[in-house]
Amino acid sequence: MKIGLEIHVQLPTRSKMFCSCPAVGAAGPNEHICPGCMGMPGTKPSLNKEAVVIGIKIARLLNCSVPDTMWFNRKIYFYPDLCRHYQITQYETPIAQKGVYYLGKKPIRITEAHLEEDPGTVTRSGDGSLTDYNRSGMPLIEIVTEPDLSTPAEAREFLTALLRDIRHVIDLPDDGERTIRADCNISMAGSERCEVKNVNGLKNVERALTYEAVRQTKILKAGGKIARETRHYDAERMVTTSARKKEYAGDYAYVCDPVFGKVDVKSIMDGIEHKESPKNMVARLVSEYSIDVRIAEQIVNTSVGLAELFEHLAKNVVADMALKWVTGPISSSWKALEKDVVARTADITDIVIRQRDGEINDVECAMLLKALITGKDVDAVRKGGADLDALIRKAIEENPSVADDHKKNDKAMNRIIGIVMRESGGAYSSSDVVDAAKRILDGL
Amino acid sequence: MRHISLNERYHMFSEAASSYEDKKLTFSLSDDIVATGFTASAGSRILEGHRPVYDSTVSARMRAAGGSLIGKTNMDEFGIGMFSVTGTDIPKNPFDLARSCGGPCGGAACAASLLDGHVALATSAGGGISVPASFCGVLGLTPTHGRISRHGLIDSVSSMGPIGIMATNADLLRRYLKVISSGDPNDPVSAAQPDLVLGKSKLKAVAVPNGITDLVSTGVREAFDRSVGTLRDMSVDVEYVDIPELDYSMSAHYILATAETALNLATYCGMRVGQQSGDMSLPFDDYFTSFRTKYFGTGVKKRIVAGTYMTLGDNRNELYMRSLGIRRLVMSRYEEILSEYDAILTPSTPITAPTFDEVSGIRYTDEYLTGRFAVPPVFCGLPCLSVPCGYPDGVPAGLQFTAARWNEDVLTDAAAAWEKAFDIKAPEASL
Amino acid sequence: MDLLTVKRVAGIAHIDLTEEELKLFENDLSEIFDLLKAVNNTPVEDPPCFDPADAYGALREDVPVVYGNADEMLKSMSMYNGFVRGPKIV
Repeated sequence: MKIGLEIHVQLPTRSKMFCSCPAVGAAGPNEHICPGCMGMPGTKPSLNKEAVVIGIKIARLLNCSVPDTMWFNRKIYFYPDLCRHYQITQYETPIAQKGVYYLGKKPIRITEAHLEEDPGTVTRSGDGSLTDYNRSGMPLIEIVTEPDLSTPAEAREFLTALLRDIRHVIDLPDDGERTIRADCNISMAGSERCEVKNVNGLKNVERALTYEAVRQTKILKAGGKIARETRHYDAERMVTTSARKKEYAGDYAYVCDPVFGKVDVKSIMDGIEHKESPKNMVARLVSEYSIDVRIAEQIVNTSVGLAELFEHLAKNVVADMALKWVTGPISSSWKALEKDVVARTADITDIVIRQRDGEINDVECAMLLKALITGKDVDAVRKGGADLDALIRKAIEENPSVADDHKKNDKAMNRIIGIVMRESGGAYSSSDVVDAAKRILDGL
Repeated sequence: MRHISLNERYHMFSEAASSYEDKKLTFSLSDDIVATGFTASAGSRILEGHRPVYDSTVSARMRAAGGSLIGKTNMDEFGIGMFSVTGTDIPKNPFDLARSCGGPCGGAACAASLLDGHVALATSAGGGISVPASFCGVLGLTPTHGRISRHGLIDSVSSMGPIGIMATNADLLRRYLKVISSGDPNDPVSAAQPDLVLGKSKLKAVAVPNGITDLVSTGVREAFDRSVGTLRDMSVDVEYVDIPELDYSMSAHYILATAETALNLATYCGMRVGQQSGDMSLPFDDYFTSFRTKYFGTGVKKRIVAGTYMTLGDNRNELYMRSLGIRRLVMSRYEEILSEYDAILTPSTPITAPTFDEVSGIRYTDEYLTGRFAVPPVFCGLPCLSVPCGYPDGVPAGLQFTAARWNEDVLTDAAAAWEKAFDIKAPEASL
Repeated sequence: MDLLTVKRVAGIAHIDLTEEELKLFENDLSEIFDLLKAVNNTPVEDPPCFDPADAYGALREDVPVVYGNADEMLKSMSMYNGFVRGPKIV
């Protein structure tokens, strides 16, 4: 089975791609429109620089080459939602060309990614249609992969990883205003491919592809043939259906768009700071600090901010020591720290350095970090720690078999943890309780 | 007012202002340049009654400079044509009512010819400014592509055809070229232009393509040859050179112009703008087709069909992309010649204004070749100037100077020098 | 261009042609295509020139501005509840 995806991602610009209308936040239909994005006669598009900047960042993420100079094309498409009945897109000079994205160790080749404008949104209504052009002219990037994905689950896994990386690299807010859509191409060995158009969201991509895989397999088993066609995904019924055969399919006209000239991509690219993708960060942490890949993944997946704190500490003390504190007390209180980690990095570093220099011991260091992060004073932390210890010891006394079981089976302490959590009424975080219970049981 | 009575006879305006302030400069816009307060249908029934909600940059600049917009001028539908007979109305030649004003913007040339001190702005696509200016005996200046903002120009062809100026004297051309030039953020290409500096260079040497007068009528040939003599009398050096590359322009231009037209005119389908009353219960393909079939004229349909064909399948590479490469070649050759000469000199048109009877019998290819001198500079984005140079059989013939990119000053200088050396006649306009 | 091609291409361009127009177009376009044959033998130069100004167009900074005249613009359109009415979609 071969699967290739064409992924449409709306870019987080503040204004539209070819006019100054706000990109998001319209209160009702047709509020963020102007003569430009309504295709009124005589208007000329003018390109939003930020769309190019974001395009370059995505190209880098996909390990694609970026042309020094690019331009746009016009693609004819008669449909009520497209205000000029041609879409401004890219044909000869996509902003991202020939790249590769690694899903684990598997390379997924990227054919290209190009910038284009979104049309409005059209809905059926009575005997006609109704269109809202607020979305008309929103910047999109369309990422096209080679058919390198082998299963619907893998396609979803790929999309999940890719979107996480994209969100990070271009600061794409997860506010629901900007959507992800994909066209999914799928074919069985030696057979024609079908394209399922306009599938919204990750879950639906997997569902649509699974449905198609099953449908195509059934046809082939029955001795039938797969017709090359475009299909739609019906998200409510969770089935794909054949799209009406397009009389004009393949007859698109691509004319170079001369209205805003060429784009000097090189000079824009030279001025951009590139943000590392989470995946590339994991690889770098592993090689730079000789840490285990799973631990690196765990840190980065918790948060890129946590990984940055680790790097800062590793540079000030040593990697092993930094790792101990980052994966220990810091990560167990990460939620409390996340928002202002940058502001507190210096204080955290001081505490860790004092421990390295022997001014404080491990227990004190853990307590000081905890106090700093949670904003409680040290005595309260100490007392809280003491109270927690007392609770755990009491629970062990009341369930003496646990101490023995713990030596054979890690899960035995879950009983103790459960009791303490219940009795303390959630006063301690589960990770604190786990750490303390483990410490006490190990020491018995 | 005089412009209204003249309009009844010559049909230059599609819509005319009922009045205007005395002593103000009057200007007009071809019907494909939008202005608030006026309709803009680009000569097409599909845009009938369209009232734009914004002002084009040239309109805004002319108004800010104290100009009074007195009318929208008749033109060929969407700027496609050489005789101004395919639009919503047909302008009549000021020198002979039975003759064409030339196209696409014949109404503009007619207005410039008949109204004193009038500045007519018009699109230079297709037959350019040179064909109508030549047929109506006025001066016509086509600036470099990218010099004048095209914001508000309803273009059928996007990569060619800046807005140009027609008037009866060189001073008006020079003054109002300054007013409408300079960059405009609403037209990104115009925003990249170098400054316009007038008066820095003089016309000293021109090149005439060898064999150029083999392609023209006897009257035009005689007028052209006399003009070469006049220029030499003005101590301009005139030399004959081989420029066969200019001939490549016509085929490649047709391919690019039609291809771009097919795209640009896809917008007009009975939704959002212009004609919109139809049966919305029809599937969208049928609905759109019904409007385009009913309201586009034959010439426009022909262009759209031709242009659609130019980009289909393999044609895209063999015709469309190839023509872009031809354009680069012709531009290089122009550049080479224009590094040695200040301008290239040709007739503006191979014929003088034909009668409407002649127009109705003309073959499609011959009509297109009426633009064989006007099209190449526009095709390559170069500035050019048409001036009257003779009156064979009582109607004007035109002389065209083509200059290097951004060198409008050579042309304004040529216009000023020419009007001193040659006696430009005004038509005997009757009301 | 033969009659069938003219018909097919007109269909793609969303135009219906009458029998008369079909014949006229076949004739005129065949005539002009004879002229166009020249492009096959014409030398070309790189890079292809799609904009004779050869400009790097000015880019716009990403600053949103709400257009103040949208209502006026919508007045000339067929509207329903704030939406633009159009033909049936399939």
